[in-house]
Amino acid sequence: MTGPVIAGRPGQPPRGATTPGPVTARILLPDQSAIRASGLVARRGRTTVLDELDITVPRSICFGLAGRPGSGKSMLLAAAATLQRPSLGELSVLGIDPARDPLAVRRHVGYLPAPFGLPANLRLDEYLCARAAALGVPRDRWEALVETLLNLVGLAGRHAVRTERLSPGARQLVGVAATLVHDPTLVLLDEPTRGLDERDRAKLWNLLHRLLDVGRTVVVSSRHLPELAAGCQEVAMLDSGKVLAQGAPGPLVAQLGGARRIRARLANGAVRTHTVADAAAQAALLRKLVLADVDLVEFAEVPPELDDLSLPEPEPGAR
Amino acid sequence: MSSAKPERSRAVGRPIASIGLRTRMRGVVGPVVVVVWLVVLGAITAAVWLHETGTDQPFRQPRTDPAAIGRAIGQWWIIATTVGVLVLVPVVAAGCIAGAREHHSLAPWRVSLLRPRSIVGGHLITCAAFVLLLAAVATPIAALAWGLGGIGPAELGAGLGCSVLTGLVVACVALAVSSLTRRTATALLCTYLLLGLLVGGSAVLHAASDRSDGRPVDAVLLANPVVVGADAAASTTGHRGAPRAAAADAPIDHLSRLVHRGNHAAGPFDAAWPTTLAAAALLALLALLVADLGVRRQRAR
Repeated sequence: MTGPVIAGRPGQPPRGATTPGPVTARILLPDQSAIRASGLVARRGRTTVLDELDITVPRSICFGLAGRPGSGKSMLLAAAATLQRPSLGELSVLGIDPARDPLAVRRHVGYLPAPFGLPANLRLDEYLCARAAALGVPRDRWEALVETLLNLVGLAGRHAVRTERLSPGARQLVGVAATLVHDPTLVLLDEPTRGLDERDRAKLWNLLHRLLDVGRTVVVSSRHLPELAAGCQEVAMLDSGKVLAQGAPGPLVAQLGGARRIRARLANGAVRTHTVADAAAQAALLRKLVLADVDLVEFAEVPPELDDLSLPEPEPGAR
Repeated sequence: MSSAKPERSRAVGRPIASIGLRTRMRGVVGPVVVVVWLVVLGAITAAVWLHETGTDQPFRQPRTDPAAIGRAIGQWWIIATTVGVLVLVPVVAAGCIAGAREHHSLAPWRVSLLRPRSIVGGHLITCAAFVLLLAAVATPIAALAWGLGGIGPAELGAGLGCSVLTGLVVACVALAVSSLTRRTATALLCTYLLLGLLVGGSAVLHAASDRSDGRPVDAVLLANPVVVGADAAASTTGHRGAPRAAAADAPIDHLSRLVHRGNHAAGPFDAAWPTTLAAAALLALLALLVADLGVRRQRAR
């Protein structure tokens, strides 16, 4: 990124000044956030999808956007990816204003929309090469790039497979690979685990954590809070186009006061789920099960889903 | 970070055109359309041949002059090619942008370094390649007509050129419609409606128009691509170069006489098709601008 910028030239009066004034210098520190939005408003038709949203996404972390359908997750990601122009407010992506210089943003941002589709009758390497061409990657790097990306998403050696023959999970993984063709600093993934089975989900999260290891910032949206809580360092909860809460997943859930869900797995393989109010009730439940001579092999707290949390109701007429 | 200029020159239109061509030609639609096109052209040629050489009509002697048969085949070929591009090009073009939107594959291109006009341009290249393919597939029939005589390469070339230009204009219109609709089927239907209005509407207007001398306004027909193609082909022979025997019912000679009624001495420089060509170029440009705006309209959920 660019270093600090000093605006104003020492020894010269500000333009328009009639008398020589004091030397003014303003130090503009580089924006340390990956995404910074302030009072962001975005509309779809007459519907306000982002309603004066304020959010800051730090760099070099995996950041989760949780929320129900229509909460504004996709719109926020689309705005950050320059696909959607906000109606009002300020938005900065990697220190760049997407409205002023969308191409600069696109050069450093990878975006996977949801839902994501691949053109039919195309080989995987052809698709990835086309994406590389569209993102200005020099031609001599395409071959190695395709090899690396397919390896990265666990599709090594499947260059010649046609897109329509891929499973939905594999398509999603190709989509993720395609967002990485230009080695972006910021990766925006809108519901990337949608349609993936457990194995592919694990593969994807593994890939995302590898991106963190090399200093990239990953923003992932999902409707499933446990998934984000397990994979992200920080989560923001969106509802009706506003951020309800933001922070580390554990404290965030505690802040929102969700009931605790406890999964108890028995020796015979049966799984029981209990809901308790707090830590004392959780301890009481464990004591009760032990005293009842239940053959317990696992007693674990399950991160709550969004529906388990006591989210504040959106203001009437807000949408 | 933002100071470096994006490497747009590498990217302009090529990825979209490359994907479009591969997708269309590897899929079912492309080969099926080409096969159907060949069969239809072959059937038309056979029908014209049988009609010209047969004795199926009373009071009509079968033609034995190869030049007259060749002229009839050549002229029907020009008309069939024009009608063919009017019908087949929308099948490919209407699905370009609407299809990508329908299959959720447009957004990744919108967040690339490609400008919307590069995306439209890439799709236009795909459509142009398809039009040229249709023209190339039709060429052997033209060679047959030329071999029989009665029609020259200039006339065939002018007709084919007009068909190709018609195909390109149709592709531009279809892309514009495609960029404004969400579904391929809707885009296809709307494109056919627009073309139907142009072709059928001009014919209806021609029939309904009435000048003071009781004759219809023939200039209305110049909005009809089939008539314009005929006019362009006929202009190469000065509207009077047809063999006398063929002039009676060869379709282009008939249409040309219709457009230039009362001016039988019209020569190559009196042809009306350049005016239509200029109007078509404007229409294509307008359509491309609409398509550009339509691609920009891509919205997030």
